[in-house]
Amino acid sequence: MNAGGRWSWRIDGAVFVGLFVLVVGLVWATERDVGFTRDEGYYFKAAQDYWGWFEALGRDPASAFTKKVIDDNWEYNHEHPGLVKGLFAVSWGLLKEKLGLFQLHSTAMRFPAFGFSGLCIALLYALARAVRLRRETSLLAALMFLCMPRVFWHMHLACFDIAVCAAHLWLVLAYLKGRQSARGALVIGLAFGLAAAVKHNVLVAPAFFVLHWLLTEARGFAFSRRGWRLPPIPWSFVSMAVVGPLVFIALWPYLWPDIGPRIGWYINFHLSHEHYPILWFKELLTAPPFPVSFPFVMSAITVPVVALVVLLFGTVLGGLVLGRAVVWPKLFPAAPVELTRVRLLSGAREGSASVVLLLLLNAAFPFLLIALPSSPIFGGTKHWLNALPFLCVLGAWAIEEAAVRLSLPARGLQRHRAMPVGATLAVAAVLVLGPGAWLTARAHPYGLSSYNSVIGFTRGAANAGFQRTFWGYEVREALPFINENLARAPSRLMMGDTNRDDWRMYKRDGLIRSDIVQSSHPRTAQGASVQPQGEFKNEFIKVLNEMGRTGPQKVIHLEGVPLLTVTLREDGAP
Amino acid sequence: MLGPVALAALFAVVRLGLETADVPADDAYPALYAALAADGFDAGQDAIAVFPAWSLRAWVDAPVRPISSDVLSEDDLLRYRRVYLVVEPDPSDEHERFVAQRGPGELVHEGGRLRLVRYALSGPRVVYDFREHLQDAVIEIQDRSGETQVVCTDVIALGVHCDGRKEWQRLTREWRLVTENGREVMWAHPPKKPERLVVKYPGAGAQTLSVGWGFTRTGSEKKDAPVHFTVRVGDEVVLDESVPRAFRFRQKTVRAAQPGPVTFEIWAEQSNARAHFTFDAYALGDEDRP
Repeated sequence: MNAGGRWSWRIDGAVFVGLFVLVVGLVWATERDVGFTRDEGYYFKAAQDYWGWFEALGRDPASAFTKKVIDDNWEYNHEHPGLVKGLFAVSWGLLKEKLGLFQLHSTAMRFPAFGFSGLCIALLYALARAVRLRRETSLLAALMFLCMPRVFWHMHLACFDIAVCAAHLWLVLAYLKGRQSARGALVIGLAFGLAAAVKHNVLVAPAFFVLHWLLTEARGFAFSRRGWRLPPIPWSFVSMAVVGPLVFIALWPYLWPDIGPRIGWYINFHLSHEHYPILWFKELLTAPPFPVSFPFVMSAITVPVVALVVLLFGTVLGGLVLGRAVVWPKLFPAAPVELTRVRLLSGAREGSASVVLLLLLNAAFPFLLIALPSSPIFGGTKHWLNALPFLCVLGAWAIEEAAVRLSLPARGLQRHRAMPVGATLAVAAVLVLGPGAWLTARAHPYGLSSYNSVIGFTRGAANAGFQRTFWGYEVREALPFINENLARAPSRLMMGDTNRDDWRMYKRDGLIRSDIVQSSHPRTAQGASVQPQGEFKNEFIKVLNEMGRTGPQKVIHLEGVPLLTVTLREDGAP
Repeated sequence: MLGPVALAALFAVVRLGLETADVPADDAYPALYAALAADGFDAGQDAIAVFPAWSLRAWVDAPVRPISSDVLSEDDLLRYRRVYLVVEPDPSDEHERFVAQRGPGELVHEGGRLRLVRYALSGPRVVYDFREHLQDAVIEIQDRSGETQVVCTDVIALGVHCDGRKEWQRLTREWRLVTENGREVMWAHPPKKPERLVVKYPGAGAQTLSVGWGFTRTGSEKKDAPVHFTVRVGDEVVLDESVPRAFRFRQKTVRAAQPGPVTFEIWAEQSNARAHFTFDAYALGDEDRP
């Protein structure tokens, strides 16, 4: 590496670190507004259980590896691998319980998620730089993902959905950079194992790497009477098949006593996952077959509209580049294949088409998996969030291509191109990021209920009959009202879709008055919070009936769209 | 490409700005209800409906439980003297249908992106409300031949339970989720086939009836066989509907040739599993209200 290259590498390193710190700080600073989701309740409990194992490891390392101690501590919530929840456990056990660095238990458990969020945005920048986009364009790609309301909301949760975006990014980055060398292959295997240890979303990624290899790099296929001749299998695939599972198993202690059956159970659980109701054009979908258009329509109405346009341009440009790479050499053998002035490269020899194909495949498969009519579609947009970073790279590429083309007639001379392109990119960044940032800030802390201008924002989505909220996290903003107004002695509260583990965490963090106890039915409660939509609307009616009220006493809302109602008995007594 | 991006940005910013200005503030609702009180709202005779139907902030200070606005244009509203609409921006297609049907109404108050509109309702007088006179009903479970199997006499909080039967085998007056925000109806779950629930009002000499019927959301989600709903005035069948499992509360006015006692019959055409059927009815006089 020459001096210029080293300098460039250092700047990129500084941007990487800067982005990481910025995002962690931003998410941390806005975390207290976001209530606890259903799944977080389970992961809070899991983290406390798992910390027990780390304590056992410190006390008596030999016994920590016995089946009993492992099962005692890792049995709970083994639907998902242990890496991320293990980090929640260490963050809570070490940083909160031992070192007292956090005020709230929940913040300590969420802290690793903030780290994954920072890592995700930094890795997205790194991926864009790795395919040779300009530094400004790469920043644009990274910040475009950050300025999506639903993405930003997910960043706050002690869950896996942003972590798996980071994992998918590090896997593709490793594959892009390392697939030509043996050392790189080892890194790819490690990256795959680590990614699989985050969440199952990435388990099918190697299949798409193989497809990419077959379409772009595999040479030497032959069919004859003597049989098939296959090209040499790349070491990266061998590494993913061997090193990947080893890393996956090593990072999940629950598997160790009974590896085969426990992995089998884990895979089977996700192949036959239960379904939860979701509102879709005023219809409450509860069971398959689900609409194939679900992930596409939901993306079209939730991704900020300017970013949506950019992602579409990037995808179309990618499609054109691929089409030209396939068709052009046959029609015009002597003509150059490259369509764009900005080439996406990962190595010296390949053209843009190979990189574009890799990005498109990794953007496509999360969408396609959820588009299958039998796939569970609960969770709004989270199941294909990991596709969006790759579309952000393609979109940013389209913008850079436009900026470069725009600069040429104005100046005409290559040596003067830098400034106009930079200026154009700056304007594009304001245009793309400004509305997205505004929408994100406006929706916070209810980013899960955010919709874009295509459907008329959250109110338009409510009119069209889309899911307004879920996972029972909205109650946090209502807690001061409840603490102030719920009757005393007895003080029983029914908390709609908010689960018991979330309740326990609100109590433990001192966010609910200490004398309030949980009630499972409005008949025995002095107050109730309900998510008044879809499958919970019946509960809303029941609460009003039981409490003898004509309406709720408080409505938590986004842009006027109700997300939660709080109803209190007039006389306090049930 | 930057042209469309700039246009999209302009579109997004303008729409976001307009949307921000379009959301009613929380303090706009108390001012609206002050105007409602000043207009002489009578909780015993008047109703409130909020557009769009999903909006619930207007419920916090409402003096009565608002009626659901999602099917308001299908409701004859004859129980009420006046209906007040609380109208937020983008009030939905149903609001347009209602205005097309009944006109623009009288604007009582406007402020903070909210409008309060009054509709004085005309039409026949309600002379007998079946929902309010559950105690007058003779409720039975009959077999196919009309033989009485059970007489329902077990008085419970909201109505009458059929003796010896499951908790759901009852006739009760309840708010149920049969529209977006519910409606006060009579719960009338059909018994297992071939039995039928028969509700007779021997003393109600009615000729013209306004009848509503439908499933709760839970009942509509169970994709099962229809429930049959028959209304007789004397011996004349004035309504005979096979009601498919759907989340749609229907309302219809029917007239018999002669006045007479009224009977409602509800029976499951096949399975009665989760057949959460409800109905509502009142008899109308021949003269319009003053």
